[in-house]
Amino acid sequence: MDHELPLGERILDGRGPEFAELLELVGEAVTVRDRQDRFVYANRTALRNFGFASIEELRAHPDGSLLDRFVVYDEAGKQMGRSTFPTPRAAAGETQVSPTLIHVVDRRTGESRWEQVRVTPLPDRDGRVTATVTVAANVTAVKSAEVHTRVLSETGRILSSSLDYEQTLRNVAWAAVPALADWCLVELADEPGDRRDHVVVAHRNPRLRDLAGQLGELEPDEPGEHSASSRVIDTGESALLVEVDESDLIRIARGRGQLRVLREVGIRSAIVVPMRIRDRTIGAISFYTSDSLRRLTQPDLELAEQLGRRAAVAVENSRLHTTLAEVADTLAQSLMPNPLPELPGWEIAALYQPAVVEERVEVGGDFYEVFDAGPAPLVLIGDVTGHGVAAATLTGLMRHGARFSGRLEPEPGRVLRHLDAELRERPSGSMCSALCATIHERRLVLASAGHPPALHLAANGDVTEAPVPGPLLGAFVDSEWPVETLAVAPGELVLLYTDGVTETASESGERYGIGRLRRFLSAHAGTGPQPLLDALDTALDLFRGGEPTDDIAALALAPREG
Amino acid sequence: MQRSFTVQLQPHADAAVIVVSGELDIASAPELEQVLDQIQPEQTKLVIVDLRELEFMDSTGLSIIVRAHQRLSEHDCELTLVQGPPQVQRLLDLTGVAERLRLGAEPGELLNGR
Repeated sequence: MDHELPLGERILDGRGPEFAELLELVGEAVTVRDRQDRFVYANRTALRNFGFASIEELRAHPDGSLLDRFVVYDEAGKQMGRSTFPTPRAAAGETQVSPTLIHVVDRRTGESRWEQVRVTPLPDRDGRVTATVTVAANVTAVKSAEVHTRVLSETGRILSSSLDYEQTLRNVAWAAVPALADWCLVELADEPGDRRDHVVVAHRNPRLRDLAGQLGELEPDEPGEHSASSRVIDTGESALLVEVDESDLIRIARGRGQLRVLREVGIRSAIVVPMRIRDRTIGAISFYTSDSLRRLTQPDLELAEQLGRRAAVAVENSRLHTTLAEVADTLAQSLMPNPLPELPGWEIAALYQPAVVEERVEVGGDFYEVFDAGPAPLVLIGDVTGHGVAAATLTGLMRHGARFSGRLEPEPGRVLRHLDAELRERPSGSMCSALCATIHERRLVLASAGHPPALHLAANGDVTEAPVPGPLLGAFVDSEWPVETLAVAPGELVLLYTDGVTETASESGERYGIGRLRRFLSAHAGTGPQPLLDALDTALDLFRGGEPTDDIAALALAPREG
Repeated sequence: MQRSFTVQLQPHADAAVIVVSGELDIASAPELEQVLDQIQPEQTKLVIVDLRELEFMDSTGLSIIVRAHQRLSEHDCELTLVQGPPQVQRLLDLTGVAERLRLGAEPGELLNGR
């Protein structure tokens, strides 16, 4: 071999190439193994990757598979055993071993690399495999970039998939496991540096996940003791611990209890990043590797920081959304009618159906209230004009206003007058129709403010209306609401309703109307309050042929026999 | 279920005449409200809302009319109504509006009433 000239010039001079020499120079790891999978040849790159100085040293190594030095994962992150490696499969006679992507982690250093492995079997004259040639190309740069891109794009999808606070926190924790880390801890602080109020753990191993989950419950030995994550929350600066040793573990943990758990769950390498929104840090995410033995590096830190920023926005959005949803639910509950009280000597039933708009139940303007005002129980049913939250809040005013004024002056005309005065003081210009009645032994005393009159159903099916209505609440100054007395005998019934009943529209646009309602009542003479309202509900459903688009409220009252 | 509603403002020498037709309900009430808001009580002393072409009116539609009445009457401007079909009339009776506002069978009647 002529060693005086560099290889390139020798080849160009027509005196080469010396292929063995060429193989020493290429970046791919090239190995040749015999049928028993023993190394015959390894080029310089292969020896360096395996961590040996010479082919002799490699051949002398007792574990031919080198699994004592490396952990190998397939593309999906599943640990591979020797029999699933491409080279032994080719040596065993498998002819079609396709190029395989593997993730190799050095047990000692935690360094990891992605390799694309191709195996070529060398058969003898009879076609039996006598040796294999394995070429492993280092594709770490390409693969890492791909993993990072995938994690980020999946993160975007996962984080925007839920507006539920708890679910979003879990999504944040799982966004990076197992692609970036073996386990992950999300901690939130209400105030910077404050005790974490929320800890969520994701771990690829369920047993260790439960164990790591205890971290949030373990109190520090000293109050105010700081962990790695609380320092990150305080400073807003991320931290990378490439190789975590015992002193690092002590710094990561808050107290002995946490230290014990962290030792058991295991940490090889750690990244803690802040969850920041502008200049505010709302929490920290800790990414740990343990059983994969992988070491986290600077590019991982950059990815983790990006995750932290995205997670912060998602968590904050869901926190706001959940808070608002809770407020809305609580308010909606308070605007729903109260359960009906027991009224001595009377049977009473209610029908209440808020409008459904775009498949959502709307809190509407219809309301009713039944309560014992002292001398006589008082009933109020009404309809605030308009829909939505503004109308709904006024229904609260009407219901509670009636309770207060009814206790002071249990007389329907006076109650309506107080409600009118109250409504008039509101700047919204809202109006309200209402029918108010006090309940006495076998008679009602009624007053109406622009509200459809009560319908009295006699035992023989005759239907009459009462009372003559006064003006709408909130509409005119100097209004009066005179009362009327309506006698109701056993076997008879009184229906109070809102215009949602008569304005129920069919698919062709026809309204249910007062005529149909009267005929419905006549046909149900002698029916008790609850069965009558059930039947009315069904009749309106059939007429409408869909969800109610306007609120419906109705009350039915009947004196008990005897 | 497509419901139609139209509103037209017809300025006359002595009055602003607003002609509504179709269904005046929670969905269409804002259209009428917009037209009523345009009326300047300093320029017109009489507003006539013609309800004859209405097919239906709900309480929200009615409250828009009553609210305009409240605003205009403070400036000495009268809001009057041309009576509509039975359902509309029932609502006017029921809510006390028929008693408080001047009603007529046709616009001329309301003009002459002044």
